[in-house]
Amino acid sequence: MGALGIYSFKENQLKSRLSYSINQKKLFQDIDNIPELYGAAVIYIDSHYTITELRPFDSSCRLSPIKVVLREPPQLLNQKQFALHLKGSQGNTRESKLVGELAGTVLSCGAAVLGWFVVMGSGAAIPITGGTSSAITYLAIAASTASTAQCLNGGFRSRNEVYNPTLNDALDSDEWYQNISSAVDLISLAGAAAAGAAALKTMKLLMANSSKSSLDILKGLSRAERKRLTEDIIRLNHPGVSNKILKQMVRSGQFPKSYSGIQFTQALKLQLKDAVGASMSFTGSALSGNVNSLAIGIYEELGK
Amino acid sequence: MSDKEDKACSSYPPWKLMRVFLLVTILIILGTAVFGSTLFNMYLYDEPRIVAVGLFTLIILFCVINVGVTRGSFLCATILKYYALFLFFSSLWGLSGAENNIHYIISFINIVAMFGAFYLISGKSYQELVKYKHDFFEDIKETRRVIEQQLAVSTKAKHVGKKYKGSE
Repeated sequence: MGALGIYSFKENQLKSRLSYSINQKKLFQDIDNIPELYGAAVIYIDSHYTITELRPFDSSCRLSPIKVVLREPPQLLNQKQFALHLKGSQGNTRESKLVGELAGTVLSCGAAVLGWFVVMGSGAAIPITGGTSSAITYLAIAASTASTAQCLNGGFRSRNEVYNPTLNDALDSDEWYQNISSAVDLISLAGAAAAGAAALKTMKLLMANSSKSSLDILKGLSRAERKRLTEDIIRLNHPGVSNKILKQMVRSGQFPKSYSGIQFTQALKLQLKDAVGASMSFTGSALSGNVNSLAIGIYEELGK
Repeated sequence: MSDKEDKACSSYPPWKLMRVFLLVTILIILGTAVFGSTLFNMYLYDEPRIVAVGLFTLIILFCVINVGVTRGSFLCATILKYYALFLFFSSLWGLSGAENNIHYIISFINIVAMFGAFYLISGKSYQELVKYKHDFFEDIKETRRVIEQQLAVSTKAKHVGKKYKGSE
């Protein structure tokens, strides 16, 4: 309430200042003399960003409202700098959009590369979380598909931005396009969540079999720890298997006595890549995709 | 177990083959994006909905085929090869829509990229990777079958043992 009061005080002050510094009657007449601007609203912005409406829009002559905005240079800029700033900001709008699209494309395509790397290797990793048949693997495929779609969308929009930027505006106003983008972002997020959950599950399993800290586990496991973990993995993938059968399986060579250090590291690396890939595709989406509409601040940050 | 032994038993595809697969994947995704954009720019500028739905359908199909490749399907690799060839010809056609130097540069890069994708898929490394994955999944199938057989025999023996004890 107080802030509003201060603002309306500033607005009144500006209005009274303008009433003697500008011949408003003549200004309005001059504006009305231009047929395209007849009845236009006149808005004034001072150097402190106080905005006041000198004249409302007159709807008797045209349906769509038109406004003439008069803006003083901000306090920190002189006239020349302000003119350059306005010229630059108008000219660079599309250019900065192209940069945003390209940045989003690079991130999404990076995520797609990581995603496909994980999908390619998922069959080869030790089945710590259930192997190729688990829901996590299908989610990884879905997340890779989403990243691929985001990468395609980024490339598509970037080329449009170079060839014909109005095509992107047409796409942005299409409801179907927005809905498909939302779906792709959601799948990407689900993939990120699944990758995180899988990584946590793996770490939990590893920590339950070792007295080491999570950092030490990433460095490597001892032979005894690897053996214990291997048995747990076999039990996890074959629920209800007895100790006797488990030993028989190991003895017959169907399962190794213990998975090697490299195999564990490989499985962990895959899950980490999956998690990083998923978060990258989300960032890519935040820059050029649907999440953009929820986080406008991000674009402004990059613009600076 | 030494590092050498670890590597010998590791079933992960060699990095050299993986690189080719990932490069082909990215080239085809971007080629599809350029193809869609050319189509949109030249013919379908009034139909953003058709373009959006068409592109997303196309990319889902591509992903299904690419997953097939990761699972060792030679058929999927062949489909992908002809798709890359189609994109190559479409990129030649896209050259006609170029209006300035930047357009020509982008079109030229796209033509080279699509030919590169086709060449890589037809190449030895890509085919080797598909064969590698094909053999790997065949091995998994075989191992699973053996495990299931073993489990069935053990369960049956256990069941018979219980029955015998019960009758005593």
